[in-house]
Amino acid sequence: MSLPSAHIMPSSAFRHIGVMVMFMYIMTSFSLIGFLSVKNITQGWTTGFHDTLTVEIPAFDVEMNYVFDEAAMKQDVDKIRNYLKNDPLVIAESITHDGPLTTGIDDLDIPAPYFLTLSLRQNRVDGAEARLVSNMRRIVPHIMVHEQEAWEKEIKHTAFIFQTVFCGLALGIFIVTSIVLSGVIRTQLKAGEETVRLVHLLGASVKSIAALFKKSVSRAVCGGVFVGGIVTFFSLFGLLPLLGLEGHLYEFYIYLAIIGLIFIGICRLITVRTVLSALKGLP
Amino acid sequence: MINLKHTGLRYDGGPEVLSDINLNLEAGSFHYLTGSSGSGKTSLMRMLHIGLLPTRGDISIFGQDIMQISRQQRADLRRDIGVIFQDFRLLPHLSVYDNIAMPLRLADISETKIETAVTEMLNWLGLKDYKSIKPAFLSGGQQQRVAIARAVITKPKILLADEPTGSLDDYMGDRIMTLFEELNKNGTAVVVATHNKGMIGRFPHHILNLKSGHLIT
Repeated sequence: MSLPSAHIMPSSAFRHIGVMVMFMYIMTSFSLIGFLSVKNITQGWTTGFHDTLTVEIPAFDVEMNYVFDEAAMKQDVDKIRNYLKNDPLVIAESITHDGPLTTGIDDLDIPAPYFLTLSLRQNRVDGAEARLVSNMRRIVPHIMVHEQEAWEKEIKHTAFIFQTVFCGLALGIFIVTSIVLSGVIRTQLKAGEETVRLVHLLGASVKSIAALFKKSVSRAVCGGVFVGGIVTFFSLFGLLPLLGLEGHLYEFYIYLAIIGLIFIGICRLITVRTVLSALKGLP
Repeated sequence: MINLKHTGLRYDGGPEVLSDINLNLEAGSFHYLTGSSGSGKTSLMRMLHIGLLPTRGDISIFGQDIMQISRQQRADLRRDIGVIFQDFRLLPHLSVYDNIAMPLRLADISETKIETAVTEMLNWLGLKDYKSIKPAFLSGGQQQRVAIARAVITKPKILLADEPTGSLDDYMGDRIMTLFEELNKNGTAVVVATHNKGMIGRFPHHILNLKSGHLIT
């Protein structure tokens, strides 16, 4: 059928669909950017945590009623470091010590603890960390080990919540777009009912009428995706360096293209289904 | 070509507006359909161009039972049926040219052939200066000629015309009836619903009379 789609519906009838899709596309893209940013940033953080262990040589005992002196603490640090030199699990270590915390009152200067940050070998066997901690405790029983696992879990849990929200947002946008598009098409069909009926009586099948609508809607949706794509494309240049994700630029562009294709696909499908459903009463 | 057997039609469970219609339209036949207002003429015409499906009985068109075939097949059948509506039903946003060309475009005819056929038709109907005009700027008679051109441009196998000369003067009315007769001689079955007794007298053909939904031949 070589009937131009504008002969059934003026092309201006679908222009606002293009504008709607443009906004929806931008919102979905930013939701996806949010999702991927959270994923990448979390991954970076947890990788750092996962291979790090912090050992504290405390200045106080657990009940906070005994103060170790500076010389004793230094001795404990040396014992631990000597041991670590021979443990293949530890590939690097660094020490942090701020010296006595000055109160301004000569007699009340409080000693600060020593912190040993250990970089652990990757791909280690299960239980290796526990063995390391146990060995260090055997040498200096009152050391405190800061468990990174709890932090890692907390971060992962928070990231999961954010990712679910971004995913839900993107899904919600697709659903809202589908509902609005279906409503617009039904309204256009109602407004052009006489035209549609006449074209049907002149020999156009319902399927070919749906195809004409699909053509018009596709054109509007492609326009919306194109403009939305350009806006998002340039936004990413500014946004990703701020998030420290400039290395992922091409990955993001691939996802943007996929979102565009999903929008076009969904809108085409919804258009055909809506027209076929609205015209099911025609003989 | 068209065969109706004990066909009945009612709207939304109301009383039958057409009852027990038995009719056989052969290729090359020419019939007038007469009857008072509300007798069911328009309903019968709509049923003949598959704008409505009967609520009982059978209709077969070109040998196909329209109740048994798919919507796509019905659409294909409609392309061989030319219809002239009493209220013209021209598309207001399209030019005279595009209105007449529409059935050819639906039949996927090439634009070159469409231009030749539409230009010839416009010349014959005296509308060549109006090809780019929208229907709203045409008189009733001119609109009716455009509607007729749209119905006959595909040289349909069946031509159904509802009061086709109602808005035309006698001269143009007679030209249109001559066109119908020429199509009829080439094998098109023609059904003209009319009240115009003068026209029936000048162009005598078989008369089908509808009375309260019953067909009296």
